[in-house]
Amino acid sequence: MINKISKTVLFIVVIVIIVWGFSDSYSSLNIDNIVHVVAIGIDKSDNSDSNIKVSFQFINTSSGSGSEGSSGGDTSSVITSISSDTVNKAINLMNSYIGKELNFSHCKVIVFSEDFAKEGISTEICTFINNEEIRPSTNIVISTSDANSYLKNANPNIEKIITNYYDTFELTSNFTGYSDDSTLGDFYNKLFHPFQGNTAILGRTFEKVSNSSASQVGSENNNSNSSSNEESQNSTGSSSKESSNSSNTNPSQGTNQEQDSSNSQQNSSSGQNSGGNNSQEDSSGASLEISGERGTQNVGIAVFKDDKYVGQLTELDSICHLLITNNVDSFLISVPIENFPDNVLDLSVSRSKNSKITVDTSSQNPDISISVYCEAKVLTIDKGFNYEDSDFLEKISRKAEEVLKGYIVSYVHKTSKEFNSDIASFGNYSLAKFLTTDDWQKYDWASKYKNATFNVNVNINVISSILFSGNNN
Amino acid sequence: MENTRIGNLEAIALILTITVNHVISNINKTIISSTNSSAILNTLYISIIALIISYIIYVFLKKFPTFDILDISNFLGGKTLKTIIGLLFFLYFVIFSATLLKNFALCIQLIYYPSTNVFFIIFIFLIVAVFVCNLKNNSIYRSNLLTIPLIALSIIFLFIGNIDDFVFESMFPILGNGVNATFLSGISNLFAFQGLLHLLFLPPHLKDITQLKKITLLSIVFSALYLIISISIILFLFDTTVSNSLLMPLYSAARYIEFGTFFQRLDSVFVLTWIISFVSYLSIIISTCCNILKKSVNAKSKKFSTILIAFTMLVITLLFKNYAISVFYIDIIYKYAFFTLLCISVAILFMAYLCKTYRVKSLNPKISVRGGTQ
Repeated sequence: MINKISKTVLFIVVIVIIVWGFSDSYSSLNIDNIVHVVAIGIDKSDNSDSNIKVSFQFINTSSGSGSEGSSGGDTSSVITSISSDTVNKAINLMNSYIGKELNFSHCKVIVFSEDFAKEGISTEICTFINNEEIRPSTNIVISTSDANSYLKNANPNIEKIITNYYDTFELTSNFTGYSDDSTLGDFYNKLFHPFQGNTAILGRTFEKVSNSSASQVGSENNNSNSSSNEESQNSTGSSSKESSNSSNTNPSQGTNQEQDSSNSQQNSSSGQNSGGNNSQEDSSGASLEISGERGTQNVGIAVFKDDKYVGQLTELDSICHLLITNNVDSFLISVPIENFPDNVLDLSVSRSKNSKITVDTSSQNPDISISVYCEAKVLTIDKGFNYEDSDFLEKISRKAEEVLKGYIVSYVHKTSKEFNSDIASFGNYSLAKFLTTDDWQKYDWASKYKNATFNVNVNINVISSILFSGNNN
Repeated sequence: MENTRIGNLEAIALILTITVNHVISNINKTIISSTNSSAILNTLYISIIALIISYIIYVFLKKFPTFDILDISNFLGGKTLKTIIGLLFFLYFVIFSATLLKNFALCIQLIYYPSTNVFFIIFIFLIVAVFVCNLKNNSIYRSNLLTIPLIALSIIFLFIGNIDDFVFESMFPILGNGVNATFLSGISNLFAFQGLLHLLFLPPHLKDITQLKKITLLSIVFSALYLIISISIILFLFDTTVSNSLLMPLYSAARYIEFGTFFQRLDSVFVLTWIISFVSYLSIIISTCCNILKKSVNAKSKKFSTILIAFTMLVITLLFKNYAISVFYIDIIYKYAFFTLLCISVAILFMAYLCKTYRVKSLNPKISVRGGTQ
């Protein structure tokens, strides 16, 4: 009997100790006491007393029913900024301001402004990766404008909530190849690597569609392509009206317009950085025009040397980068074909097998051979062209190989000669040539990469068109 | 009547659990930091050495069926040697597992219970371990056998889940920090095979002692496989600079697993399996220490012994002020302690082997010693 009573007492004591010990954690992690951050923006501070301006984007749970206007996605998120010395201090200040604890377990994106990233982001990246709530899969975006504007303009126009839009980054990268799906985990992994360069998603902001003017991705083309603007405005007339309503409710509209003017300068300069290529041109060389309610687009790749942003790659470079690193499923290229309408034929290209990379380190400078293997389907059909003609398909294949090879050569030279940043990790393929880490370090890949020679081999097999084989008549 | 004998699978699972929990508590990080890209080669090398040592131990133990290292010490040097060896093993097992417990509890606290004192987490682990230890009919070994498939599945899943992000070239340069680091000083990584020490206490618990060879070799082979897979995950996934700075590399690797937007945050599942495994490990250690106390100092009450051991562990965990101190103890102090204990044990086994062979031969020179029974 006494034994039974002592067991019961012991059991109760243990339960009381457990409840007492874990109640604090339960309270601090209670849903009522936390607020979920979905995106973080980091800018240089305007204030001379502090170093950085941190913007936090929250989901506004009180507007879940869309009572404040469901047409604009911006009503479902709240952006608050704070200037501080460090990210951790900013988080603490924000905790105090909001009266709840910030929780980052649903944080999808971390945006750095281009200006901030040029001075190095290792401290911030290390701070974020050391936070157990932030996932390694959180995307890193470098905004050509300030990060705050990027967050304000990133209103989902199809998805109901902002997090759904941020979830599309990986998917879009896979089937367009226009940008890399760079994540915090990958970025940190390469941050202290002896030779690997880093990449991030290049995010652009532009003026959202309003009733007065349509927007363009390429800010530098705003004036020269005014006629195109009008056409696109006409074609999206209905959405323009909707967005004009939503833009009226957006208090940041004025700020965004200011940012756009600064964007045009930044984009122009970055265009010069990338060897004079217009980053806003598609593969056929025509300028891209986009108009819509969302004022952001992720096109291109931001390139880092160590922790500093050194330049940007265009969407074509991005395709080449993802193709070489086996991170793209399919993409589109346009091949110039004589006598074809507009002289351009669109191909949907997919990887048939992984790229093959070999590195020869026997000479003074590394000799890098790249072979990529693709299959393609013709998207463009027109009168007078027959895709059942094997010779014609062969001709398209050779032409496509020539075009893609040109892009890849341009990309590898840009990364080596211009940025001196081995973002495709070619150095990894030379590791097997050395016996010990000491031997490898003596070779000094990091400094030799800029003198590397490249031998590019592209194999494209054009299979057919999709549903029609062309028209002989 | 209580069933105290264990079968082959239970015995293999017991040895494997010891290695698994050492791996979860960062031995893979120690191996990678000392060898760099040659970590896999080094693990293969130490696995072969561990197999050889385990075979030697088997050969010596075979001479004394149903004897563990304490009985053999008693045979060789009487009660004094038995007590000394018993206390050495007791101290090693208790202090080492308490350090692992502190590290593991700290990680659990950092990840899931930021506002809870680590004392409470340690307390829960020990309460559960003591409870399991006092259950009858080999509950420890049977429950442990159930957790092993979970652990095996989790490490395979961790490997497959991360395979897309692997950089297989990370295993080059093949000799990493050099021949010395891989093959000479690298031999110290044998420390990963903690199960070798537990093999010395296995024979009295086995249902069928003739299966000792099979159990010894298979348990070391499975431990080696687990170690190689876990090291491969860390080496292929992280740059060596990064992996050396991670608090819990396998947990960090688990955080990278995502299957689309539907299956995310799978790390919680991994942590759950590791918690179950760690409780199993603690109960095995407490049970082994109980047996040591029983044989060395004639401790009669099992219940009292388990509570005393758990309390000692709790006190030891509170002595470590921070994570760095416990990591220092695991990487440096216990490494030397492990090799010292292993050498002493093998020396005792060897001398006892010679002693017995000599005695048998002197009693009847015509009787073959091979296959003799006690």
